Amino acid sequence: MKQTKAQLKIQEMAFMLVAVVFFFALIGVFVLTIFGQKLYEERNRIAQERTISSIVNLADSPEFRCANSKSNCVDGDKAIVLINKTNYLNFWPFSSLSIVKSTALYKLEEDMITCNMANYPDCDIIKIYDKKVKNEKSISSYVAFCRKDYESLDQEKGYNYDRCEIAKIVAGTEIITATSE
Amino acid sequence: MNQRKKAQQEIVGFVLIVLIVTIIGIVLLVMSIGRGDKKVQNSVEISNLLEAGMYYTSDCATNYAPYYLEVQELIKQCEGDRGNNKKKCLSKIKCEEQGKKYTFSFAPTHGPWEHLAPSGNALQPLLVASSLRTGDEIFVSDIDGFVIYKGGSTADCRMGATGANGYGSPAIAGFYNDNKKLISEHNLRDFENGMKVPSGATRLYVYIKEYGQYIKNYNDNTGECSFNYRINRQDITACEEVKDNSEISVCSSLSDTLKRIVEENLRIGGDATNKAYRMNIYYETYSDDESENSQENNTILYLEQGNFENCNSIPGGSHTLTMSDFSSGVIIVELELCAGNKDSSEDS
Repeated sequence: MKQTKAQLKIQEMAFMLVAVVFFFALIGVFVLTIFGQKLYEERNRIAQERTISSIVNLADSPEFRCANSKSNCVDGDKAIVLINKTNYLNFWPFSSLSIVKSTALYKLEEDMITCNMANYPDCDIIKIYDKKVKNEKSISSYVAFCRKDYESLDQEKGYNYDRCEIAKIVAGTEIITATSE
Repeated sequence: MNQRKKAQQEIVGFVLIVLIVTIIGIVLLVMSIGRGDKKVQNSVEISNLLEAGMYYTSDCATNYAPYYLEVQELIKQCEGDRGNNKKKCLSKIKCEEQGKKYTFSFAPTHGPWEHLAPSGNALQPLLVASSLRTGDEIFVSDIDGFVIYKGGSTADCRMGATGANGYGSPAIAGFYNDNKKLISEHNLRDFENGMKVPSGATRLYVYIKEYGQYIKNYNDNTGECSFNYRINRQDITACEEVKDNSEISVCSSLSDTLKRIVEENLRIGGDATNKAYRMNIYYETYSDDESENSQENNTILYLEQGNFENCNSIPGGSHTLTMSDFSSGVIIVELELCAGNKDSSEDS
């Protein structure tokens, strides 16, 4: 009789332990899932921020930056003369570099008007260079795009002034995989 | 035996209760997390958009055209004018206002285009009107002044030569096209009863005319001619459009410009990945006093579009504008998006 009672107590303890362990295991799994998800999101966010900040640094480089110490601003009149300058092909660590004006952000690439000396500034995209690599991932960031504009008050008189709009600076990075090497 | 059974039942019951409570707890927790307000995720991309947007050139000039204000200047001016709507953007006059009288004056060293170097030494003629169309009617009044030539001859700007030798021209008005080709030439006084713009003419210039060998003597002339001018344009649509837009306040212009920036750069609503946006611009003092920093009191502009419900994520960014070295606070611009699917923040 005593033996049976002891067995019952052991059984009781075992059930209790199973329940408690199950309870904490569930909570643990739940918490881990949430934290794991947040960690993953945070990792992606930080990675994105790092690439974007590298583009912001690019916009602030002497080749692009606007007068008047404007941060995150590209001088369109500087950018247009950089088109196809071969000296810059290996200067920046990007496989392609272009500036897309905000008016063309949602246009298909084949519909965009590529800028050159003749049609600037009435164009959509300034292609600084493109190494035309096979696998490329593009990152982009918003920048102010400023240029000197002229407004005529009448047929003879007018003023120069700074006109700024918004553009996206798009930099491509070559993705090298084991097969591509 | 009965006692044993009872104990076993109690244990099973206890375990069941623990299990049920655990499952219900987890379900409630998941639901509460799923339904709760999403935390705004700081997005560098949106902050960059705001920073770049601060330099965006608006269509509003308050001092003189074309000194159009950047968005950051508009925000500061709107902050100073909060609630009053007194500060207006300047009129953007592309063509003369219908029927408005303008006064012109010019020195008699200005001749017709044909008398500029190398054929003569006249200065370029005075441009009075441009973008003319056939049928527009021009009126001139109050022609006044004299032209004094080096040799002593004088001419009345309205009537012409007054001296005994009869040399000297009155003020002349020439209709030209955009290539500066003369279409027709008239005495300025002929416009007193109105003159229709002839076919092919797009500009009206006024000048003095020298003749013969004297076309190289414009630089010797002294004196001044003045007159009043007005125009009745046949097609005034363009002028009216401009006039309608000219009386907006800086705060309205700020609102329009920011809407344009957001809608041009972030697709909102419809099939777009972003369902809605809200933008808040407010002044924040350096003071710790919460009443002073209440957003309601300090809001400069609040914009929103779409419905901020069931957002998968809320990417947002902010930008801070300093007022001046002596200011006791800063202006904060915040933008939040309601993203409809997971990739929206990247797409944005």
